[in-house]
Amino acid sequence: MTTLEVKDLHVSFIDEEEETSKEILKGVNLTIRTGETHAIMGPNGTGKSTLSETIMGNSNYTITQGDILIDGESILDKTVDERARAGLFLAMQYPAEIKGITNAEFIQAAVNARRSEDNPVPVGEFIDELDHSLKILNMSQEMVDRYLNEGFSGGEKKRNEILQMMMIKPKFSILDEIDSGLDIDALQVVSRGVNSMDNKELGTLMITHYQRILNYIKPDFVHVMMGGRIVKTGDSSLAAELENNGYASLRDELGLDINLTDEDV
Amino acid sequence: MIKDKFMRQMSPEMIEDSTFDQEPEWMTDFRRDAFEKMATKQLPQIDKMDYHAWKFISTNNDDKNQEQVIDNHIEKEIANYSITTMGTKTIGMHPNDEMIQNKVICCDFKTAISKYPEIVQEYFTKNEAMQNNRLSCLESSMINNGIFIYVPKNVELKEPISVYMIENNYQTKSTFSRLIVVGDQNSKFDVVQKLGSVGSNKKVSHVNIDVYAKDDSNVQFFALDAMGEQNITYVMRHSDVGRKAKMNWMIGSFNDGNTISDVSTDLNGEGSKGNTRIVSLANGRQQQGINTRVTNYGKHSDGEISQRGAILDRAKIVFNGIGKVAHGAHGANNQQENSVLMLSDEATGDANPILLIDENDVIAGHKASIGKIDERQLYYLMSRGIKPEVAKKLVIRGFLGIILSHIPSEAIKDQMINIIEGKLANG
Repeated sequence: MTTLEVKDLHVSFIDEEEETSKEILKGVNLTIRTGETHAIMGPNGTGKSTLSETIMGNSNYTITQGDILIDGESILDKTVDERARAGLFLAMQYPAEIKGITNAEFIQAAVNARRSEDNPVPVGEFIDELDHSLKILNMSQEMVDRYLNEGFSGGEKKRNEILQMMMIKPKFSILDEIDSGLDIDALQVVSRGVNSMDNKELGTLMITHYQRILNYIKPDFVHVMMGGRIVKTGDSSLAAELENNGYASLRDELGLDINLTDEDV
Repeated sequence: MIKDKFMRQMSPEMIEDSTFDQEPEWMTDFRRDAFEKMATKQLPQIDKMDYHAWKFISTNNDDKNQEQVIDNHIEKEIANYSITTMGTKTIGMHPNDEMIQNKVICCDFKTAISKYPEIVQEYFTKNEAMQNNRLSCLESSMINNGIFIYVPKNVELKEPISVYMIENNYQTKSTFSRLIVVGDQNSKFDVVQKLGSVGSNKKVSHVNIDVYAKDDSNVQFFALDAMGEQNITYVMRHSDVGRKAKMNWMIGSFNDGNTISDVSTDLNGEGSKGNTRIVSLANGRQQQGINTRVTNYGKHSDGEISQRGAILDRAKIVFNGIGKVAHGAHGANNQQENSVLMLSDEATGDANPILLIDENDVIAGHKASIGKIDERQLYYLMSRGIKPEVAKKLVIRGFLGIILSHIPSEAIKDQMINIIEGKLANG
């Protein structure tokens, strides 16, 4: 079992041009073990994506306090690629497009990055596994021969993120709004991909606005994030409660002084 | 007459040194004519790249000439080319069955002059551009290596015709190579052309390529320029595109030495199409000045330029994209996109779109960018565990990859990737 710990994490977004700094995360605590599935829900602008990007090591965000650890060892001085090789994976909300590099070539490079240089993945083995994953995700062979995310629709990009996850087999997978922009059928397919992973070896952190995806990927824990902190943790029934009552009602119940972006709607 | 620095490098005796065996009189006259015009003409202007002080010719130096070697590696490589020249000599002829069956002509000038004198003369003297600037006058007068390719009417080839021109740097004298490609009406074929050099003498090399894509033809021309550091290279490419014909250039400008490259496409025929894609990578202290020109003369002709360059170390690349629509070219389309990626603080680069429009109902557009490596792309690749140096290479290769996927020859494609990776590894 491996543990990912986020301890009292404070993160600011520093705009170098404007010379302004804005604190987004204000003391997040979270522990995920392999074998567990966590969901973080919360209203817009509350720092959910900041949390996932910070764990991955995106340099746009600055940690001002706290720590992120894998099995008790801080990863803060590790670069993005080192964190990835240590077992972290982030399915991004807006993955980059790269023309000129095929999807297959990219995934192969990612798989090989985890192996020693003189022991690359045998091509046959790689292709078999790729075919298997493509089938689960209802993706055509053509999708891996295309340039990386270039001209992919929103749904295709999400599938492609899950495809990479299946091929890379991380210890911790952070799925940042993997459900946004997906119709019900696509949502089921993407969930099937996530569920095809070996549960015991994977810790999953899902970031979502909606309860719907949790019907397909069952969480062990649901955390509610507001104003840069986790304000409540429960089991999957918490998600249903939120769906019914909304975030504002939870905020009032907890007596928090936080402005929600879309409160007036 | 006061000679300028360029003209002081030249003498009419050089023409005698260049002539082919049993050269017909019209060819020698053409040389003399070009030589005379040379003094009055200017070098082609490459905006933002001053190359007037470069050397333009290397003369014979017996003290430095070395014994020439064709090693196994090259021996093997030339077996894959329809025709190979080294310096002024033809060292390989391997036309495939398809070319033979379809009566495709692919031979050196010496052979072409004796066997097909009329068509050689027609196309050799046809291109007025061959005498309209100082560089082309020089190349016209000094030509000492030539390849002639002719694909007859209605012939469609599945395999590319491949040409390898190796500069012989064991010898000191400049090679002036000329390649003429004629695609007759309704022909369809690919040409793969590679430039390289062997031997360690420093020298100036000239290559001049002329393509005629006649009515309804479809010619795809792929070039890999891979001259060594020891060469200053001038490459001129020109195409004349007929009615409803298509002519695309896809050029990897990967010479290691200073390079002036000029690619022009004349869309003469109604409904003709011409697309030019150039990728370039410069490293060390190398300078590359690249002019790419597409001119719409024909009605409803359609031209496009895409140029991409990555610049390392203290190198320099200048891309000038010149889109011209002539008066009378109604309904023409002329688009271009130029971009350079600066990979070091000491690199210099420029991407200049130049549009010259003499007609009203046309569509013309341009984009240009000078930038650094895309941090978002790097982050994405690294988030999958790919090390930064590998990620950087992938991003750059992706940036330069716009022509890779079109290349019909796996061998050339692999070589291009190897050259890119090699240059990036040293950078």
